[in-house]
Amino acid sequence: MHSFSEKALRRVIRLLRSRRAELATSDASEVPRRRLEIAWTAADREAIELVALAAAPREGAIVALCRMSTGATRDTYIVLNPIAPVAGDLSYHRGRLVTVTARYWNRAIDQRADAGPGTGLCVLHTHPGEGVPVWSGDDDRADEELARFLFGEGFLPPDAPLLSLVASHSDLRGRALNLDHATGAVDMRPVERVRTLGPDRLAVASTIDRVWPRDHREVPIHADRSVRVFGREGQRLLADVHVALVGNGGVGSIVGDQIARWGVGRVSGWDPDVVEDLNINRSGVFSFADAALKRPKAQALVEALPAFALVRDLDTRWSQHDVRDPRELPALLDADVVVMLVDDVRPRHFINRLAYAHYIPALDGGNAIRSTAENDANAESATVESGGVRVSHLTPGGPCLWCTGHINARRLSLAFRPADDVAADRARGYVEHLGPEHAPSVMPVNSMTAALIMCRLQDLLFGLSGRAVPEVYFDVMAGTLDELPRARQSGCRQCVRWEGQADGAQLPFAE
Amino acid sequence: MSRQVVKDQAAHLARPGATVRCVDDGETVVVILEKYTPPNGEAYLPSELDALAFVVPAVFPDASPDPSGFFVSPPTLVVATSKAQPQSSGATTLLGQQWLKFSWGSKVHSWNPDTDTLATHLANIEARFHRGT
Repeated sequence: MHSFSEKALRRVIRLLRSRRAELATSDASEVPRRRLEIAWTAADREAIELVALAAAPREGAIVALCRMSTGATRDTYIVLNPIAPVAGDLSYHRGRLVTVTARYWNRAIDQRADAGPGTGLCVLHTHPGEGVPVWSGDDDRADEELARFLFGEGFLPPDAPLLSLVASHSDLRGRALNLDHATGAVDMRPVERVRTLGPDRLAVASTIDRVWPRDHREVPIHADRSVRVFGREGQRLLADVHVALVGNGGVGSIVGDQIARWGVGRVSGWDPDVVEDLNINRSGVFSFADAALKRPKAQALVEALPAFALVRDLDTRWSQHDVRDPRELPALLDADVVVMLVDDVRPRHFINRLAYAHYIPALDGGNAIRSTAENDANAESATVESGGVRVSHLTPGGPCLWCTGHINARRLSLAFRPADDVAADRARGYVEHLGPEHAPSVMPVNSMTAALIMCRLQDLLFGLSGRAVPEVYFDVMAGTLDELPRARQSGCRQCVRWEGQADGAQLPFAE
Repeated sequence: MSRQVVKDQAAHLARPGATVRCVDDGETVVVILEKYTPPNGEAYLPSELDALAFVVPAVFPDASPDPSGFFVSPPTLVVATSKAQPQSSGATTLLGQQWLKFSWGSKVHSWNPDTDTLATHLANIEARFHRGT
């Protein structure tokens, strides 16, 4: 399906023959196995597949850019910026079999170079019809030639991603291509899972090449009632999802409890704080025993989950480190979705950028209550003046927390103030920009926040509403729930600038 | 990277007779202008400061310089006419040293990371000295 100049092709064939022996003896088992996934936006996927499948009944093809997002146990190839073929970019032999011409490759190579370091290429071709597409012998040879040509001739740096996809009208397969420059061997790693991020939905699907064992989990035996909602397939989907829970305090601990009971199969928790007596009246899971032991919140939450998790062999991980610690990044990049429930603007700024850069959608939730007693923990009486719960959905193509004004340069800066200076301001009564030292918080409002997070997560995974809902707001006083009109700000230096940059993105780590 | 942006921009704040020093402090950079003469300095005693300082987060310029105020030394600075401590100021500690903090931020200027720099931030600080109170 690929095509090069005759000279390049002859060179590739010579190389192929001379390295056949090494190819035959290469031992992939020596390399620790990592899962390979692809992630793309629903808009890019539609553009790519529609263009390529439009050639049916002939094969079609299209080239796009791709970048790598490197997690602890998986590599995600982010596919983006499709480069639509123009007349003369594709040619056919035997009437139906597509080849990508040298002219098309040259255009793609130029665009890749302009896209910056870490950018690679993805080529998708089609096998029109229904069913799982099968790699043909021609496909295998063409992919090997492609890898030898692009890597061998220096058009792709050795660490740049190169991805080959084949799509039918109903299914998709893929493989990453790498050239071992020392031996000349071409390594092909199958794509095991595909994440498609839309404004309304995160669609997660395994390919036929999936070998990671979680795909073969049985439906939990106690899932009777929830199977009646989304079926056994829906329950398997949940068991396959990895939720990163950033912030394991009042709301976060309730959400952690609920996602485990719901049937999510992997939960990772981050929180730097320890459980205190004052946390118990507005949290889930935590006990006074946890407080007496000053257990880290993340540990107390995550280690409690297996006792009631629907998935009995729930995968868990917890960390007391700041989620902005560079050592935590690989674990974060293993997640399918981030649920963020923190007051501190700094980790919210960090996760906000990560969500767009690495194509990991995030739900950001929070609540606020204004009361006449908000600065007095010993007030005899109080009047609630206002209260609200907000949940925002952060996903590529949609507005980020900067677009919607939930983070701005001033708020972010205030979060970095030296503790001594903040204490001095409080002592002098300059609290306008600080807010109450301990924000009012109460169980029903925390429960409502958790419920909204859960419903938005359910909508995201199962596409119930079928429409983009960037933000919902519950008015505690009025008892009303509204969808707020939110739009991306053109040129946003957070989401627009870093979207899809993956490992090439500069993340605002803690220093 | 962002710390370097702070330090590069801070270098441009130097004036004849004054020096600029940047001190890393946790996730912030403290920019210190030593031997700083504020505009309308005669309204204060002393009229020349040992130092003016402000805090800049390391994620600058996404985050603005600290909008809650700035610091001056000596912490005994007073208004020349009243001999009183300037309005909205108070003693505080920064980098282990005593300073007088002016709790002041521009009410009309919101930080734009695409156009604002430490020079525009310093201009806002200097607007406070023009008040002479």
